[in-house]
Amino acid sequence: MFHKLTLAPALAAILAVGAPALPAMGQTAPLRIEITDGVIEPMSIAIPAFHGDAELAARVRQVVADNLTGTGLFREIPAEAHPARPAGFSDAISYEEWRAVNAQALVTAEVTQAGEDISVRFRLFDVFTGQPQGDGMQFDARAADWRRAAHKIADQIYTRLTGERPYFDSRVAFVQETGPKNARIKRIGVMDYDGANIRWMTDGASLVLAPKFSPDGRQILFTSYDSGFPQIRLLDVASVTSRPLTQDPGAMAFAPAFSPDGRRIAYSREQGGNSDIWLMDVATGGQRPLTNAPSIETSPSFSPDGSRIVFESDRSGTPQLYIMGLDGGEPQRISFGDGRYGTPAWSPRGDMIAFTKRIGDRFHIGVMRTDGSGEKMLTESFLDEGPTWAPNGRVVMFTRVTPGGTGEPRLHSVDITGRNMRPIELDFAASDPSWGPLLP
Amino acid sequence: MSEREERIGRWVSGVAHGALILWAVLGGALFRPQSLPPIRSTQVSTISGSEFEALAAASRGAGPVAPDATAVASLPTPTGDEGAEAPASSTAPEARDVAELAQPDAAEPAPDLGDFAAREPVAVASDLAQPPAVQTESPAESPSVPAAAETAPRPGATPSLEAPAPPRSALALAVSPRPQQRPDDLVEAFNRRLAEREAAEAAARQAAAEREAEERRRAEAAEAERRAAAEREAEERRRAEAAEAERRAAAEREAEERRRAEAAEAERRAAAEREAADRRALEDALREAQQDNAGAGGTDTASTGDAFGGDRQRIEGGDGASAGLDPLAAALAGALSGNGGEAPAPDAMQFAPSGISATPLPEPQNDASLGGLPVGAPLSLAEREGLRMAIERCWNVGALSVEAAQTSVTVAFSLGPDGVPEPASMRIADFHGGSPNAAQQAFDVARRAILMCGRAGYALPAEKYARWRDVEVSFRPGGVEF
Repeated sequence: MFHKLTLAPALAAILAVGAPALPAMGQTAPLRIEITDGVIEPMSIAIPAFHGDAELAARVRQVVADNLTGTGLFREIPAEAHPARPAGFSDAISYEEWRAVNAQALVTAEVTQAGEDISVRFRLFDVFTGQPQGDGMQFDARAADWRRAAHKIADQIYTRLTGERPYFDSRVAFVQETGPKNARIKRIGVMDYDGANIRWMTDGASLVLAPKFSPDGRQILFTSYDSGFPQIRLLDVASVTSRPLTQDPGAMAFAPAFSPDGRRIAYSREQGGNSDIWLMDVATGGQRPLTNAPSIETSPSFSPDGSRIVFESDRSGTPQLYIMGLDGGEPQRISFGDGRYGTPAWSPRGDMIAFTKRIGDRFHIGVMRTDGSGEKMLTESFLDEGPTWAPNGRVVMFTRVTPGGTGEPRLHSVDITGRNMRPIELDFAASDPSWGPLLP
Repeated sequence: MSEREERIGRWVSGVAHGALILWAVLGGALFRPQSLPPIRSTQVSTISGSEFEALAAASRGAGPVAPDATAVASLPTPTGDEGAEAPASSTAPEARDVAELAQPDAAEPAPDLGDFAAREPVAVASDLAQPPAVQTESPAESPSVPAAAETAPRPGATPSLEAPAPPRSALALAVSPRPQQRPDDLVEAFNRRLAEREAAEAAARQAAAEREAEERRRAEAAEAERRAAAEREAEERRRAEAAEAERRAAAEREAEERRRAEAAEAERRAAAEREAADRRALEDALREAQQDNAGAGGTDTASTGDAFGGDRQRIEGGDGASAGLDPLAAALAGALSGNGGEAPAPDAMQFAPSGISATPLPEPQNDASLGGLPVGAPLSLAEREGLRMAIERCWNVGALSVEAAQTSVTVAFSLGPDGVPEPASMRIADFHGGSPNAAQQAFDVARRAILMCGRAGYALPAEKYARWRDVEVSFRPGGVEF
């Protein structure tokens, strides 16, 4: 008993004093902290003048810079703040000097031209880690395609710094609108995603609507009033020739959409005052109805795996969004918010659906998950409609109509975060954009 | 019934009947009906439709009515024969009645019936362009009167009279062009135009409505903007207040910790002093007990029959020096008394738990070291918070991809003694919620944040370097909205 009484306090004293000191005698645990909030600001990037052919290099550099800053995710450090540019493309980088101007990323490039061919190579550096961000790359192209080469470089930089898939080297089909409101002339055009390199696909002789790019970007579906009735035509982009896909004089066909494999189309077919979604095989022309309801079903859009479509229907009394499989079954309603939903577009990533929503007299472009959850409005205006997804599923383009008697449609794009909404620089009215795939 | 009454009845009946007979005889003379006025009648005659038209023409002043106008009017053929016989029809008016009409002035010119002449065909009104086949003749060739006008019948006109030529347009055609074949798509084009016109009208209506809506919207937008600005200001104010409150709270927490540490230290010192005093008192008591044992050893022997009672009696019966000692002292006293294991157990009351004061252990002093590195006290909350906030302000979640924004990544790295991160030490310690690619991208953004904001070294106490040399930061972008 005596020993117990005398040893216990001693042992306790040893433990009490010695325990905190144990780590110090061995290894201290890492300091652990947790961060849940960050900042949202453009990433600073330095794009000093490219080496090589001065005039062409300047143009390529400008397109690269415009592509990156146009996303709203990057801020270009002005040239006057740059330290001395490396004398040669392959010269070593003085990271410390670039850190001093707070550049987080640095791009160096060289553009050379040989006859009708150009070659563009670039490198990307992470300034604060002091190491290259990925390998350098070179793109060879025809001189006429110098903008595409610039888009390719910008795509690489964008992907490496953000982790998103690229989308700069892509095209958009749209409808140009000219003339007064009661006598609009509409024609289909194709442009680079940024509004450059416009090519006209139709001549405006007949009314055309709702162009939709094929998955490979070689064809365009559109609705034509050539015959007086809306019918669907298939246009070959390379030859700028079109042929009718539907020729039923007793039924109107409109709002077509390609399946992801490009072999089928879904469209809206109206007959006797009732419209349903139909599925057509492009090669054979065989078709069958997907829906059979007395309500109005229209604006189909395929899921990326081609197994389902999302479409608009007023079977519940107001236009809402529904999803159904191509093998039949009852459509499942996914929109339950206030207002009217329309023109759904399934994201190329497959995780979201963009749509037009009207609440009162205001229009919105919104996105939601494919089960209808997570609905979020990206825009709000007098009239926004017809969203189309960029190939990477990060950006949405749509038509915004300015109000008033002189109002006209214009194309805009917005990030799915709801940030960075900006107009597409065109000097004419345009509507019905359809974003094509990433070009090879 | 009496006879008198019977007689009265007969009189009454007789008088009444007599009065009735008298009224029947004389009443007709008093109430004779008034005679009705005689029906007036006159003789009428009927006329035929032709006669009526002739009279009507005369009343319109269409021209003179010949004496035999009625005869002309009744004839179907406008021959103009003045010597035509009057119709034999009995319904025709008498000739002498007609002859009473005033004779027309023979010098009166023939009426201009140009309005009744056959007209040129009027072109179909249409928005379509005129077919090119229609040729407009020159004005010089056109004055001739259309043949149809010349052959038009002229009721009542005499061939001998020179009828004045009706006025004609210089642009009038001599020959009527053949109507053009209607284009096949005329109806469709017309319908289309009609639809476009309706659309234009609808657009105009819509434009007006849009203008009104636009004005309303602008007002609402201005109001909303004003509200948003006010909300922004309020939000900024709230944030500033929250930050200030947080700063004050952190300062208060730190001060509180300091106070607690000081109080604990003071209490620890007081406890140590109390313990030392108790120990001194115990030693004194033990010393006295030993002295007592040495002087009066038979006392305990005499009381062995009742160990508790004897011991209690000893303590109570003593001089009181050891009265009130704790059990430890009693045990020690017992042990020191030489009884060993047979020492009497203390009274149950003496095992009653006394109040135990909780005293936090003092932090180890800075003399501890890790391989020569200063360890110091653990980082305070403020120091940890300072490091967190320093990294946070460089963590640009806007540069995260959609998938990376849903990926949590823990970055492990080392800091130099100057607080500057060592780039080579940075690695992914853990991640979840996304693919490896997304984790790599999230890591890149996190690494950039750590390096950027630690470029000049994080402000950490050098005396605690061993405690912050190795750091693990978990970046959880759950709050990032996509």
